[in-house]
Amino acid sequence: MSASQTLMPFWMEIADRAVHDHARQHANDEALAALVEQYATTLYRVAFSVLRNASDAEDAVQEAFLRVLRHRDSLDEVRDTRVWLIRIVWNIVLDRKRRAKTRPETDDVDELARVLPANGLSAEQRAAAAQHHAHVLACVDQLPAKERQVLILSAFEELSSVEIAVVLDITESSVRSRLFRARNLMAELLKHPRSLR
Amino acid sequence: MNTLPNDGLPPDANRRDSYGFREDAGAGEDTLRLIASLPAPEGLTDRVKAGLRMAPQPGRILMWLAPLRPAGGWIHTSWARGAAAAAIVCVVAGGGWRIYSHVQPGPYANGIVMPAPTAPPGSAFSTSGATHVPETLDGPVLTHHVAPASEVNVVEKAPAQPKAATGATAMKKKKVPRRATAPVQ
Repeated sequence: MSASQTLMPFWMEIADRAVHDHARQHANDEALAALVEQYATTLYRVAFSVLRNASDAEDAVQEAFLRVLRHRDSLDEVRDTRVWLIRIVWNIVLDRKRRAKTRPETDDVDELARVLPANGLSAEQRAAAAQHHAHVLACVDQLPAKERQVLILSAFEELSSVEIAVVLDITESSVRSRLFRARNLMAELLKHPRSLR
Repeated sequence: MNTLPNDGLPPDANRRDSYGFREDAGAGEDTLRLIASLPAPEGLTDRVKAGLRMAPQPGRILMWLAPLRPAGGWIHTSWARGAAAAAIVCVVAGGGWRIYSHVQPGPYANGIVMPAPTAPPGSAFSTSGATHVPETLDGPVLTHHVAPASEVNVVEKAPAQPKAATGATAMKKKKVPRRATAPVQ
């Protein structure tokens, strides 16, 4: 057996491994692109519901997918990708919200007036709608953190109470009890603004 | 899909303001649902994908070049890593021993050599060559002979004195005339 014949399987194996690594990386990139395509909108809405600012929400989505990129080798181990992604972006936006300075309420009104759908409303009606929603959101902000978080997540039609429990890392019964308290507190706040303070 | 109960709402759940917006507890959820259903901005996915392409790739641990990479992946096994760590330890220890074995320690001094005084001549604080010798070193010089401690008469203990005389006896004793000394011729 000549030396070239001896070395041939060695080189073949090296080439196979290189091709395999490249193919696996390519597959991971493809999977990540598919995740972006499928869930970027959902994550944006979750981020916007907390941050209420379009550019901040987009940054949070970007950061969430960058975290996914760092752990793309373990994507196969994730059971529910959607809830996993929502949990990632949820933690990011809570962290950002905690660090960010409190914006004046007028910023919320302006942002809402910009992003809310017109639906054939007049300028006056749009301004009134933005004012109303900003007032409601100010009341939401007065809720205790635990109740507020459950109330915000419950607004997403695609999230069940079990999934909310997974995102918040609590039990489903805790989700229900917190939601009950949040609704009662909201009723109180809307009747008597600032009654919690 | 949301299975959350809708209980907890107060009975006056249909109050509305002049613009038709609810003013009850459900107003909060209406607003949150509206926000939760807002569409994402145009081109969001493209921007996110572009950001991911520009992101730095995760670091890798000194990979072998593909043609030089050993087959079978044995280089990444724990015993290979242990052997590499042992080789590094041997190299470091060997280098240290080589340095240690080449360094010859100097002869040990038998005493402490005091350096010569380096005070410049004419210094205001010089001792002018005088050396200070404590006077107690040789002890005081005696001008007369003193017997050694063993030759000194030891005062013997005086015998017990009789009981002290009373006052009258003492007076009598005082009246005893002294023996007259011889007159000086």
